[in-house]
Amino acid sequence: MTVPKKIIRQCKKFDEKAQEHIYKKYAPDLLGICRRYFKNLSKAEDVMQDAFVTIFSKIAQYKGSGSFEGWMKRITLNTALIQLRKDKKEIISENFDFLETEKKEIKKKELNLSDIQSVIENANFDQFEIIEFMDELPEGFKTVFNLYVIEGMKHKEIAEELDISVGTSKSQLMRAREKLKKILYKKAKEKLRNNRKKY
Amino acid sequence: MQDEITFIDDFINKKIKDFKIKPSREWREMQTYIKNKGIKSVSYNGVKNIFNLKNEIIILSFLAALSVSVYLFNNQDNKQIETIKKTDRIITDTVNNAVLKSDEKTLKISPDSNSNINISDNSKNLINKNKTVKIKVQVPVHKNVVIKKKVFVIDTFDKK
Repeated sequence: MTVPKKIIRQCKKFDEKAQEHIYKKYAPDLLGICRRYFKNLSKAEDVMQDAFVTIFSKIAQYKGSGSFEGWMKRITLNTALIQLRKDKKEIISENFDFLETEKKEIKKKELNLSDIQSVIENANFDQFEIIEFMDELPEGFKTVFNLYVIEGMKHKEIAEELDISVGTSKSQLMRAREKLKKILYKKAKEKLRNNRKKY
Repeated sequence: MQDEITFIDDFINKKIKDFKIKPSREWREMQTYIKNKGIKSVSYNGVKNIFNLKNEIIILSFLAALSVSVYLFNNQDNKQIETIKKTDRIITDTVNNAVLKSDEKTLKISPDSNSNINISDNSKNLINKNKTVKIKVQVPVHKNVVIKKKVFVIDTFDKK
């Protein structure tokens, strides 16, 4: 996935054909990023559109030192984070509501990792199923998990980006993993059960 | 605990790192949106194609320039021939009253006007045999300005 330098040069001149080329080629990737953070597809597309506005308006700032795709993805992520910060109030309240019930659930039944692992892997979940399962996480959990696991950011960076403490970032990540493990296990068992019924 | 962390992280990462979705919004909608946001979107149409063919244009321009140079070089004398032909007024021992075009000025060559036109006997013979002969013409344009030209004469001196 590389963008020819000629296309980037033309895009810097605001050539609509070059802009169209970049949009058509990279919108699915950038929307994929946005969708990981926003359950609502329409909102994810709004964020992606805003990301493209930034990309096309600031393309002159891209000096070619890194990959153009990486530059676009970083802008998209930043745009998503800006939107998340706007929605911060909602995220925090949702997280705290969840924390209390989740603590009880985790204590109630501890699952054996090897059992969980084999069941989850046998379910052969596709990308869309995984995205849907992640949507079941509270916004805050999902965001921290995405930033840490998928984007490879450190807790300090996440804390700065989301304006939360490092401790909060760590605890949300831990709980996100725990919750995801349970969701995946539950969904995997359901899927395997349904598959058995079919045959 | 470490295994569990690794498993969940790796499993999810592997599944959705390159997650893509085709947007429902077409380019036209996006274009309208970015224009509304004040971002320029310029259509170069035909001109754009020329820009796309930058290398080809450079080569073609070079070849065109080369062709023009060669043509002008080769046809400099032919133009003079044409000029002389058009005048149809080539007189026997001089190019009397021949009208030559030099740049944008029309000059009259006349034996009475200090024109320094010397045609050798050999050239005269050749001209009479309908051969092309190159002669030197010096035409006074102004008191201190003299245009030196090489003129081909293909007409006959006898033709009057």
